[in-house]
Order: sequence, then structure tokens, then C-alpha cells
Amino acid sequence: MYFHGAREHLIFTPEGRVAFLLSIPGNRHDVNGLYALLKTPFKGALLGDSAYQPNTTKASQLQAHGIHVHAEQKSNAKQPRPAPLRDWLHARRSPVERRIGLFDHQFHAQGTLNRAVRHYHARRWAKALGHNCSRHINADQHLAFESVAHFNAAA
Amino acid sequence: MPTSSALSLEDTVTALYCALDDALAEAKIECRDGKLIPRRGPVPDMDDREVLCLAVLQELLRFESDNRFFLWIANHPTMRELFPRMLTRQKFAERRALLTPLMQQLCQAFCALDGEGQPPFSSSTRIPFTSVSSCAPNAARVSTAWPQPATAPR
Repeated sequence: MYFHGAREHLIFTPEGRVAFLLSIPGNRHDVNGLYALLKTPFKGALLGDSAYQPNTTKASQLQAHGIHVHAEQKSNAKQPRPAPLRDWLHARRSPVERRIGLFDHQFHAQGTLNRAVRHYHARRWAKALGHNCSRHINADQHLAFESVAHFNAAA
Repeated sequence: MPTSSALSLEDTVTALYCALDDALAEAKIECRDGKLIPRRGPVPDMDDREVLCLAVLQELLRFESDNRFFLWIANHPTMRELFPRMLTRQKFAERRALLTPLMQQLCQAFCALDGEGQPPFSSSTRIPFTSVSSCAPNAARVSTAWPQPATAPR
């Protein structure tokens, strides 16, 4: 038996809050993170990179579930999208990557010490909730929106 | 570079408790007999809201392990004052695991609180240039101007 680690998929809103969080085994392709949303109550429109292109069967299931994915295409796509749409999707990528990196840094994504899977998932969700709480408090108290240094210093 | 003003521990816990209360009100979840998730059993010593507050506080203060967090709470006079009836570490972990579905709802409630309940990019939004007829080799010339959306996405 090998443990391949876990990969976490985060869904951010345009304003930078965590809308959803999903952990799947590390030896699975990223698109399985998208398919796993079919078993959750999540609905909405998603922008993603080229790893999140669903196959035809799953695309129709996702549409029926209320999940609409607009993913960048791979370079060998048979029906390439027009350049303005490709450029627009590509331009949306860097803010998302930045927010993922910031979540990883601020909530020490690798620092979750638990013995049982359900406690691990509880702490992952507590981190996502802490992320959204910190943004809400910062907006309310007119502090730097994405900073958590003032919370860290309170201990 | 101006330094961010640090909040005191008491202010942090109070602000966190109020933020969670706002999210619970947004999600229309009421606390009955100290329980946010209906379940059997007597009234708990520690309210579910307090457990939630501590769970989020642990992540905000960057405590990696539950054991260190509980040692810190036991040795901190402010925390002992704010949370006089503390659970054991094991019971706290069980309650936190029980509240996981609630945390998912609260994450989405925070998005709705800040005006992000509906995505700006919905399936009813017409996306130009994506129909097969536009991409076909002999497609009729279409306008190359990208329509400006009413609210510019970030």
C-alpha cells in the first residue's frame, strides 16, 4: 500500500473568498476534482485551467447538475476557441493562482496534523472558514483586506 | 512601510465570534440549547458556537497541532476567562468533526454576506465566438469587438 498524498482543489469567488474545498487522492488527475463536485451540492460557473476540461459524458452531467465549466484548452485542441476568449481566460488565471498561493502561505496548507481522516477534513474546512472570516473582519474593521498578520500577532 | 495594527486577543476572539454570528444569521441557522446541528442528548457544556470560534481561532493563530493549541489555552489567562468551560482535546475534535457540514455552509454564507451570492458569469450569459458556426472554416465574418460586460469581472 502506498500513500500518494492528497491534492486539494479550491474554488475562489471573484472577490477572493473560498466558496468550496475538495480533497482527492494525489494519484488522480486534476479533472477528478471537478467530477467530485457532482457528489456535492455545489452549483455555479467555474473558470479553470486546461486540466479541468471534462469529457463529453461528464460535461453533460455537470451541466445537468448546474456546474458550468469554462476551462482553458490544451494546445492541441481540435476546435480552438477564438483568441479574445482564450486571452480573457488566460488573463483570469494569475489572480486565482495568487490567491491559492496566499491561502497556502497564510493557513499553512501542509500543516494539518491529525490522525483520522474526518478530523483532517474538519480542519481543512476550518482553514477555509478562517480565511473567509479574516476577510470579513478585515473589511469590517478597515484593515488590510488580505492580511492575517494582526491575527497571528494576537497569540 | 506602515505596519498593520495588531488586535488584542480579546478583540480578535470577539470579532471572530461576531463574524461567525453574522454568517449563521445569513445562513438562517439558529442555535437551540447550545446546538447548531440538531442532535440527541443533553445541553452541552460548551456551546457549538464557542467550539466553532475556537476551531477558527486555532487556524488564524497558526497552531499546527491540537495539543499545542490546548496547552496554550490552558496556560493563557485571557483564554481561560473567555472560555471558562473548556472541553477536553478529544471531545473538542469530535465536536469539530461534527460541525464540518456547518462550516461548509458558513463558507458560502460569507460569500453571500459580501454580495457574492450569485456568480457574475452565469450560464445565461451569452459568450460570443463560441458557436460552431463561428469556428467553422467558411464561417461568415463576425464582429471582432469584444462586448463590454455590465460589471467588469476581475
